[in-house]
Amino acid sequence: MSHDIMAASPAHDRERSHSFRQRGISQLPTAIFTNVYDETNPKAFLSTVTGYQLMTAYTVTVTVRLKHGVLDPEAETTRRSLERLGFDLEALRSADRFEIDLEAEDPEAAEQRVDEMAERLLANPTIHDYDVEVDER
Amino acid sequence: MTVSVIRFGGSNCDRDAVAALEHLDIDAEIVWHEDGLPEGTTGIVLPGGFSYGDYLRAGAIAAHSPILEEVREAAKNGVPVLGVCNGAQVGCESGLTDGVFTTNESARFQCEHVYLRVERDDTPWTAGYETGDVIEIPIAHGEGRYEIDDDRLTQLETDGRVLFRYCDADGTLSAEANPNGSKHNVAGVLGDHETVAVMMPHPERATLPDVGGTDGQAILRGFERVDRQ
Repeated sequence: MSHDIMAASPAHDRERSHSFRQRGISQLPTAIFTNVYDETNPKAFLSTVTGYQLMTAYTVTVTVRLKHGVLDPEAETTRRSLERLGFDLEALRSADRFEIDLEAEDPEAAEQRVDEMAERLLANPTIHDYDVEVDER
Repeated sequence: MTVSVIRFGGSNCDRDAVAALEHLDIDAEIVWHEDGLPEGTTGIVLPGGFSYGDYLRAGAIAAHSPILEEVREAAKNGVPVLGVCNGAQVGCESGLTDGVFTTNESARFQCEHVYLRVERDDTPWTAGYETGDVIEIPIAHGEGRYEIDDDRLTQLETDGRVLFRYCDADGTLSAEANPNGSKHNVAGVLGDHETVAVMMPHPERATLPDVGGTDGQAILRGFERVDRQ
C-alpha cells in the first residue's frame, strides 16, 4: 500500500484533494481559525481549538535570604571556618534555595503560585527577603 | 478544666508539661496534633521540642498543621495559650505572636539557668509575681534569639506586650545576661490578647521541687486564672 502512495501521480493527488474538499475537510483549519491562529503562540491556538488549557513544565527557584542587617550567626561561623582554612574573604552571606517543579499555564502563573508558597511558608517576612526565578523545563 | 498539651512529631517537653500542670492540680492531657483539639479544652500548651526536626525553620512546619487553625480560633475566644521553647517558635511562626525566634547569637545550643525580669504583673501568666521580680528558669535552645524589626518592637513595648526579659540576678538588663542575643533582651511576649503568651525559657522545668527551682509555677497557674465565661 505504501508503495502505491509513494508512486502517486500529480493527477492522483488532485483527485485525493478533490475528494477531501468534497467532504469539507481540506480547507477547515485556515477557513475557520485564521483569525485566532498565532504562529508565535501555537499553544494558545490549540487551547482555543480543544477547549483544554495546555500546561508548560517549569522549574521555579526561590532564594530566601535574611534581610539586610539581620544577624546570621551560622554564616559568621562558616566565614571564620573558611578563614581558619587560610581563605581570605570580606564577608559571607548564606541563603536557602528551593527548586520547585510544577506545571502552569504561563510563566506569570508559575511565578504567582510560587510567590504564594514563599509568602506562606518558605520565607518568614519578619526576617527574610526572597526572590523567584522561573525557567521552562 | 483540661489543658490540652499538643504533641507534634518531635515534641519532647509534652510529658514534662503535663507532669508540671498536674503537680499544680491542673488537669492536663497530651493531644496528638492530627486528632484536633478536644471539646472542652480550657487551655492549650504548645510544648517544647524539635517539631519536624526543626526543618525549614524551627516551628515553621508545625505552625501550618491544621490544629493551629483551631488553636488560633480558641485563642480568639479567650482560651489561654502558652507556647514554650519550640512552642514559642510555633506561636510566632503561626502568627499567634509577633516576631520570630531564630539562631542564637552564639550559633550554639544553650542549656542553662537564666534570670528573667517580670515586665508586668497584670496578666494571667504573671499575676503571681510583681513587676520587676527576678525569676530563675532554665533555657534549652539553639534558636531563641528574638528578632523583629525596630518599629514593631517599639510598638510591642508601647503596647506592654513584652512579658519577660533576660536579666542578671539583680534584675539589670545587660548584654552579658542575654543568653542568645535577643533584641532588647526579650524572652517572652504576649499575643493580641493577654491570654496568649510565648516564651523560650521552660517554666515546666522549674515547677517540680524535686528537679530544681519552682519559680515557673506561677506562670503555669495562669491557666487557672483565666476566667472563662
